[in-house]
Amino acid sequence: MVGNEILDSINMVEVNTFDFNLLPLLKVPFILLLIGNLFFALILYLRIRILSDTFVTFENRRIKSIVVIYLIGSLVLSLFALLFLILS
Amino acid sequence: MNEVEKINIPEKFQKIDRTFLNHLRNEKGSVFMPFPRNTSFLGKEDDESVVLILRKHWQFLLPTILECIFLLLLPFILSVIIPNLPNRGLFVFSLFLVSLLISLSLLIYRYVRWFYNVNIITDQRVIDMDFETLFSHKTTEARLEKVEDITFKQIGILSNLFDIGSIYIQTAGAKSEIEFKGIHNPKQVQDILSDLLESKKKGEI
Repeated sequence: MVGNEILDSINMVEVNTFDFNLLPLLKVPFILLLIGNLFFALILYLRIRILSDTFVTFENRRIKSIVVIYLIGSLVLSLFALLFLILS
Repeated sequence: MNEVEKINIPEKFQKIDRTFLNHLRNEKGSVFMPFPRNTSFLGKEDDESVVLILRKHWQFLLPTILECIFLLLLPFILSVIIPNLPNRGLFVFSLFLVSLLISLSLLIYRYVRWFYNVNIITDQRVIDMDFETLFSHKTTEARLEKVEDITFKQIGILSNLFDIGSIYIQTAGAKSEIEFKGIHNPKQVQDILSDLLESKKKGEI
């Protein structure tokens, strides 16, 4: 019995297939894009604070609110996108 | 209350009898703001009155909207091109979130750029504020006394259809000129500027 197993194992040719998955590599640029987008949102918020001092108008408050909502929305959406990207 | 009464005309302008005031009374909006209330800018003198604030026409935001629609459709196009992705649904949804964020950023950025790219005409000078990129901001100004020539250009079918054009203000001794690009009703703005210059030269304002 033991002898047969030894003979079987000699006859068995183990082929190691190179398993390459493209998906994790595809995720990397999107994760970098998300980080870049968050950085962009923060810079835009800081820029608005300077611009609103250069040009003062009653509409500045509205623009500031839009950018703050955008910054918070970006943060939340980025976290969700990152979570789904890791899970997928 | 009608639109004419809503416009806050400063006292020094109420005495003068010129056609540009009628132009200013007739139009009002985000791209054409005559005598805006609570509006100022860095370096404004106490006795200086803002006559007109101009922005680019709304039409310039249309390509951005089309770009955003394309970006939102991109994940679905990608899922058709690469059909055998593992966890396809979740991956496409996460890509959709990424494209949603990018298109939102693009839309907000272009809107903010449009909002802060303003041309200001006061009773003392003309100012062109350019918010070019996230890291660059340019302001060009010229005193009304220095203005020598005002030209307006309307090129193309769409520009003529929507009445959009550019104003070029040439000043004495300056190589570069001030440009008000893509503004609505450029002929009217040219007329307002010419009348304002004449009033300034005659000492009416």
